[in-house]
Amino acid sequence: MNWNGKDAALVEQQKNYIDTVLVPLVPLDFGKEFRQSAEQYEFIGLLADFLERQFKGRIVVTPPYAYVPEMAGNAALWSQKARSAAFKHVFFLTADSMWRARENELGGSVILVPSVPLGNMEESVKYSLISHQAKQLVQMVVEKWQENME
Amino acid sequence: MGKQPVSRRQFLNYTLTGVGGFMAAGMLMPMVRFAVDPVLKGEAAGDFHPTQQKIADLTDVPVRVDFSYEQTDAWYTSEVTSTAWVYKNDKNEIVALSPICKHLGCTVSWEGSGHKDKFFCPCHNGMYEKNGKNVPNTPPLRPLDVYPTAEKDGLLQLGKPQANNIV
Repeated sequence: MNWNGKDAALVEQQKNYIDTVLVPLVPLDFGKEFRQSAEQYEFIGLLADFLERQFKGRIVVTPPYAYVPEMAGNAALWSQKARSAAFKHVFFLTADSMWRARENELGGSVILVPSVPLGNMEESVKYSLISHQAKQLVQMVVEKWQENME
Repeated sequence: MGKQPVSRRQFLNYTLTGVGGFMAAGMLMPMVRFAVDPVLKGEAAGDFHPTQQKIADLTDVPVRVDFSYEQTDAWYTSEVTSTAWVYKNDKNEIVALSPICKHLGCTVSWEGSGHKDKFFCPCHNGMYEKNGKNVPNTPPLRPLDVYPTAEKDGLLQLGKPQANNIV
């Protein structure tokens, strides 16, 4: 489900089925990493869209959580709030490798994908690249659901 | 005096009729075009979108066909990519099913997660038979939508998905 009024109404009705929140996690930088941070945002956004389409009936994709380094820790608040609102699973989708070491503090599963600069790539190439990446993630998401059930 | 000289009055008459005729035609032509416009549009491809799938390559095993087309929303034109599962049934007819699960809209896949001869939805374990019929006691309550199909130059074309009426 997307973050809009129509889908939100469905989520409220079908809370038993739509039990997962996906938060895109994107770092923000205005200095040296300016371009990389924009590229990550673009890449993660497209991936999140793809996953939303694949798992529309079970996952709500939130607006991206964008952070400067000092704010990164607050992402945990999002998963706390989501859980206290009875969402069973919280997934964070990110290309920022810092989270590999900090997964525990987030209170949700981290799906880490190395970012690919999409630059001036042609639409069709871009699409096949994203869908290739996303197909691997699909498997991961299904596995995480199973793990969390146990 | 073999030649009849054209009088000033006659000359003006001819010119005015000629110019008037052009003006009338200039006004009428677009009107006629507007009037028959629906007819002209009807010839342009119907509402079918082309795909890259060769009809000859289709078998009785469903294959995934991705196709994209331009869609105009209220604010902007965007490129939309859709998917269909396509195969030939026992009567050698082409069947193209929409992958959108009728439960809550996830994407189903053929023999996903090892479910033999079924379309499987990974979200809540919904299942459909090969012809798109939902399997009872799984979440979906209706069969998968079907695409109308057409052929052009040996390639498959797909229309807008419609509700499936199989019982």
